[in-house]
Amino acid sequence: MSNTALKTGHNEEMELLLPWYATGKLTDSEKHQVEAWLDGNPEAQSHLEIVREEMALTIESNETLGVAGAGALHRLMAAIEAEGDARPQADPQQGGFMERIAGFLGGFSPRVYATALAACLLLLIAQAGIIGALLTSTPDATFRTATGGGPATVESGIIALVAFQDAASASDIGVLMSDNEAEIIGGPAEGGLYRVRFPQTADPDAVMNQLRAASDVVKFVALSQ
Amino acid sequence: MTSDGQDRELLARIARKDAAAVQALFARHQTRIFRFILRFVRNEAIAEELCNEVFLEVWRKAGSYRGQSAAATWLMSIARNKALSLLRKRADEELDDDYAEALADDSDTPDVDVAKQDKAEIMRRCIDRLSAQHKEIIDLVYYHEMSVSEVSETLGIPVNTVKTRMFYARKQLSELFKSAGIDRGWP
Repeated sequence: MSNTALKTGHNEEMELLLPWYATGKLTDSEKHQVEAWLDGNPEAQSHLEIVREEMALTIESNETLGVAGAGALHRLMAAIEAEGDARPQADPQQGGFMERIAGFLGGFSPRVYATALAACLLLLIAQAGIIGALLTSTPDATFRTATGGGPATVESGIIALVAFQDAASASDIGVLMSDNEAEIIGGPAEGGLYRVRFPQTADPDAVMNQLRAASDVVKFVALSQ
Repeated sequence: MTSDGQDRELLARIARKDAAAVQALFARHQTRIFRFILRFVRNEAIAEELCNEVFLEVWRKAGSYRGQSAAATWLMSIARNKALSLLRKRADEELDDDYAEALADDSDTPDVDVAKQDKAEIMRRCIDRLSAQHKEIIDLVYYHEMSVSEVSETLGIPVNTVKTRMFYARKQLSELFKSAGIDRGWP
């Protein structure tokens, strides 16, 4: 494969690493190198935004694939039983603590599971407290994680995936949500993406423009549906 | 314990033929493996069947897992082999209706697309139109959140190839966006 297309005059290795920087999967050393490259480099930063947009779209694309049918596990266990080598199963009610926790967590997709862990960590910082309040501010809102499979309820309104600036305060985010009659309905996913719902009557282009204009608060935004 | 640590513990129990452990592992990984396979085979019933075959193979071979790669990566490698094996068998067969329908969708011109879809939907459809090789790596990196080395292990290619393949996948995606009237200014 020719590398001609990579000869863009930029730091090629950093450009190649951007997708993994966005997903948080670089080593500390690589991460610091990419951050040094991004620092004061608007063009590189715009490329990172493109990567984040691709990531959001890919996640959305996968989430539309749905999940396997409810009978899949039953069929699997029947096949395993037919193998004839399984140890007798313990009564789930008698299982250990970890077993019960695994069973509980097993009800979630891996992405929801990861998101839930991230949400727990978020509770440790002040910003999350306010965001949590925003999450519960609308009693009839349908909660759905930023990327995980949630209730099958169709979300009304315009949904966007938003990443906030690290330096944005919770009150800044609250004001932005309030000014746009928006609410955070899920997240954060890996990469700090939140699902934000805007009124059904809002103009999607206007919403995008307003959020992009609030660049001191919003790091990235992409329409979800 | 890390998520991978929990997976390894479950695999150790599965190797001892603990059926409860395979249920737990299934619950933790079924959705993403199902979606990964579905991207290949484009048929939910077949994807579900292959997904179950993955866990049945795990049941049979957990004792051979040596822990050299993350448990999730090992599972994905099994899933990929199952999917590719099926596709090879299917190569000479007639296209099923779902697959033919998907190909028919691809024949829409960009103008038609713009007229009937919003921008985000168009962009998602562009992702679906990537070549199988490019879609696979985009999914592994962005959705399955695999590191460079994990993708390398799953696909059996060198780490530098992983990086360049991802770059060209992104480039192909940008070209598809452009053909649909969306110019992102990159590359």
